[in-house]
Order: sequence, then C-alpha cells, then structure tokens
Amino acid sequence: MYSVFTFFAVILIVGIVWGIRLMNSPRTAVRGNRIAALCVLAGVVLTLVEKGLLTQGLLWGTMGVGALIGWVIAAKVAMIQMPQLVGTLNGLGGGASALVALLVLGQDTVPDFPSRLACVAALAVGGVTFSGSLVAAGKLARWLPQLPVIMPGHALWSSLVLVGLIGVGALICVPVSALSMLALLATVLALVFGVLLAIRVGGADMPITISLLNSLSGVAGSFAGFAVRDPLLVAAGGIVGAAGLILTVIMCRASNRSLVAIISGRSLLAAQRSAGQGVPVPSMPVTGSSVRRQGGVEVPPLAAGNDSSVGGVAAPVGSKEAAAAQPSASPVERAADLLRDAGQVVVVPGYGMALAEAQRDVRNLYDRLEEMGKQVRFAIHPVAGRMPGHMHVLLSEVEIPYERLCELDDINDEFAAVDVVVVVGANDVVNPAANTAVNTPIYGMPVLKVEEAKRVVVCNQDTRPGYCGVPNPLYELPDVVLCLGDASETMRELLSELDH
Amino acid sequence: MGLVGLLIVFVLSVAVGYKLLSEVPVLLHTPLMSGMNALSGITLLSALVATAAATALGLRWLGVVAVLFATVNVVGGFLVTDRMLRMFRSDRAGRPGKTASMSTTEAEKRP
Repeated sequence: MYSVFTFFAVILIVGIVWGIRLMNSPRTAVRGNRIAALCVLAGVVLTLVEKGLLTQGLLWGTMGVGALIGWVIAAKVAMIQMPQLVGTLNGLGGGASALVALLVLGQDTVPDFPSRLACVAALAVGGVTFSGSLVAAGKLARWLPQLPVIMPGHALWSSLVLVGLIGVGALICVPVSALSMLALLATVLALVFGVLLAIRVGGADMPITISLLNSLSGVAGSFAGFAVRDPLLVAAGGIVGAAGLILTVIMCRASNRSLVAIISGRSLLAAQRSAGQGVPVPSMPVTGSSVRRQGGVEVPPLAAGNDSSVGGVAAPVGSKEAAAAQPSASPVERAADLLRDAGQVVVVPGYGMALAEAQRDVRNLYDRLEEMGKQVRFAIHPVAGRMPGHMHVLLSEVEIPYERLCELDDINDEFAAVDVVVVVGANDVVNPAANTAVNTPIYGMPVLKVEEAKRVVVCNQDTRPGYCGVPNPLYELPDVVLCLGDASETMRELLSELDH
Repeated sequence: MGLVGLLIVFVLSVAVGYKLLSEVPVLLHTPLMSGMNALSGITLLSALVATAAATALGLRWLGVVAVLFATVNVVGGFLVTDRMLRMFRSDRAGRPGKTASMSTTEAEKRP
C-alpha cells in the first residue's frame, strides 16, 4: 500500500541524496550535510506522526537526552580524537539496529518469515558493528594495544562463532519456540565475533577497518528498516553501506592489501616476523647506494639534478655546497639552510604529525616559508593517518587552504622538480622499499616518491621501521637530512633556525 | 511498503549511493565518513517504532537504550561533521593576490 507516508519518505530520500551530492565539494559540503541532517529530523517527525507517537513522552525525553549527549560530544571533541569518535558513534548506530531487531523478535506476536530474516540479519550485523567498532575505537584511542592481538586458535574460534551465529540465525527463521533465548544467544555470538574481528587488526590498518564497520552499520540499519518496513531507513542504510564500501575499496587499493588479509591480521604477521628476527628482509636494499643500483626504483642522480630547476625559476644553487661546507652543522641547521635556498617545498605529513600534535607548528613553518616566497604544498598519501582523509582534516583545522593539499596521484610525478621535501612523521608511505622489497607487507604499495626530490628533510621520531616493519632505505640516502625527535619540537627548532 | 518494494528501494539506493559517493574527493573523506556515520543513525526511526510497540517492561527499556544510542549517533555525527566541514578553507578566500606576491619575491631572491 502506497500511502502519504511513502510519498513523504521518497521526498526525504531524494533530499538526502541531494545533500550527499553537495558533499563532493568543500564549498557546498556544509550545506549538503545540513540538508541531510534536516531530512533525518523530518523523517523522525514523519515517523512519529504516521505511527501516532507524538504524545509518547518517553520517546521525546530519551531523544532529548541523546541529543544533548551528542551535542556535548560534538562540541567538545578535539579534531585529533576524530577517528575514535567516528568509531564510537558508528558502534552506537549498529548497536541501536541490533536492539531494534531484539525488540521486534521479542514482540508478543511472532513476526512473519521475512521480518524474522531481516531481524536476524540486523541483529548479527548490528551486534558485530557494535562490539567491533568499540574495540576499533579503543585501539584508535590507544586504550587497547596497537599491534594485532591474536589468540591461540583465533581463526578457528572466529569461524566457530560465525558458524554458530549463522546456525542460531537459521533457527530463529524457522518457527520454533524459545525465540527470545535464541535471539539472546545470537546477540552474544555477534558481539563476540565483532571483538574477535577487530582485536586482531593493527593500528595502521584501522582506516580500512573503520570504513568497513561504517559500511556494516549502514547495512544493519537497512536490515532494521526491512524489519519495521520503513523505506526511508532501507534507503539511507543502503547509501551508507555503499559509502563505507567505496572507502574500504579505495583504502585497500591505496595500501595494496586485501581486505581478507587485513581483517585476519595476516598483513602484519610477516612484518612482525621479519622485525622479530632483526635481519633485513631478503633482497631488501638497506643502504642508499644499493638502492640506486638495484632495479625497480629509478632514482635520478640527485646531485646532477640540483640546479636544473622547474619552469625557468632557477632555485638558488649551492644548497649542497653549503651543507658540505659546514659538516659540523646540526641537522636542523642544515635543514634550515636547505629550506632557505629552496623554491619549491613539499611537506609530507603522516600519523607521526598527529601523534606529536605538530600540525600547529607545521602551519607556522608553512607561513614562514610562504613569507620567504617559497611555494609550499602538502603531499598526502591516501592511507596516512588513522582514517580516510585524516591528514586533510588536521591540516584544515590549522587553516591550511585545501588547494595546497595534493593527492598521491597528482603530485607523485612532480617530485623531481621539488627542491626540498619535508617529511613530518611519515614513514611507510615514503618508503622506497615498497618498489623493491618483495615478500614484505609493503611491497607493491604505491608510495610518495620523495627520494626523487632534490633534497629530503625527515622530521621523524627515529629511524626505526614503520608499522609495516620494513626498514626505510630513504634514511640512508646521501641527500637526506635526518632531524630526529619529537616532530613538534623539530618544527619549532627549524622555525627559530630560519629566523636567524 | 511491501517487501518487493523495499528490496527495489535497497538496490536503487546502493547503486545511487555508490555513484554519488565515488565522486567525493579524498579531501572530504573524513567528513564524508562521519556524515554517513551520522546518517546510519537514522535507524532511530525503527527504534522509535519498535519501542512504542514493545509491551513488556524489559523490552521497553531495551528500546529506550536503542533510541538513546541512535540519537547520540545522529545528533553527534551531524554536528561534528558540520564542525569539520566549516574548517575547510580556500586559498582564494583567505589570501588574495598570493600568487602574484610569490612571483615577485621569487624574483627578488635571485641575485
């Protein structure tokens, strides 16, 4: 039966789609988000009117409390905590869908087969989303260990729980007694499976896991929509499911890893093994010179390309000479000299910048360099940080114009023309070993070719291998200046050095 | 709405969503994710309906929890997305005539 309700629901779906359409440009995205939010609000009112629930004080009161909590959280959270906030909120959404399924199953009148099927699906997916997201948020907030936690027989237990969940779900679908007991059992199994799923994913694989869980929360909502026969909910859930799926696929491609390898923690096992043995991975070039000679990476001779600059703007030569002339100079002094002589500078931020909360200092450095007449851009790897687009948000927070933020594909062929690359807390995403080190987790991952730039300044905490466990031959290259230590402090030292 | 109608709605929305969302630039992926996350809290609608229909006291309380979770998800999600999106700033708006000034300083620098 197509009622007035259905008509309005379709209008709201169109509104949501329109809002999302506006989200594809930073100029219109604020409006798009608000339109989508208004449509959800209208959906709530519409549902309350249609079901005759306008007088239910309990519902209004609960929503009031929830809105207050949501408002306080949104106002208080620091941008740096965004990944764990998204994870937590995502878990709440999934949890709500699972609870709805429990409610429908627990009704006095046993629902028909399609509804029971939808409930089971919503319960299972929602439960997994709830516990999985909370574990992921815990890892992102560093309350839980960053490394994958793998229990003895982890894969076996996961499979058993999953099979059990499917079995109990099937039992709920066929008409049997003890429906509520089975539903509770399914809930427990789903929650356990979510924990088993998320706990063995490592910290740096979180962007992918969060995307996946985001997709699942949408799917759970959609199933809940089937359970209560609400087209608006089905459509919105479907859109969210697609969104999460897209982000998951993009991230997997950008890190050259399969989803299965990530959620089974396998992508990290090889890394831990090689790191544990303390030997370089076979066929891994460790020194700079060997990198040059080995096939795969085509590193142009840096010394020769020094004075041939881009676009006719001859950058003042002599950076290398200056550095060579005073071998006693500290790395920061040398880095400052390089920056003074540079025309084009590219900053490569990584999760280390977020950890050191160095984005404000990076912004100051950006301002200083711009004042000095340098062209400064930022090269951002798709999987830098702990969620898709994490670096963009942190840099936007410190008011760096988004035109300066460049994607991997757009900037990767231009590094040869760059005078100085400043790496701030990034390691794996600039590791040239990704092109050569076969059989390592990093092999084949597209990386930023910073080694092609004339000079590289690395402001990382240390030279230890990154999350992927593969040593970074970049550190050994002769044209690389290492300014080790806390990124925030290094930035400040670099700034004061530039002011001299 | 009938089951078949709902299935059609589902398939259509996934297709339209996939098309629309693949056009969003990486720049906006975090706000996109948090916005979509907020949208998934629309399960609030089902929570409202199911809670109102629940008769047993225990189930009613479960429903209240569901409504609470979903509302926090929707309100928190949309507000934080709004906050994030308002941070994105354009070069052109903030710093007029920048490219021009850059080329002059570039020229000055040359000895």
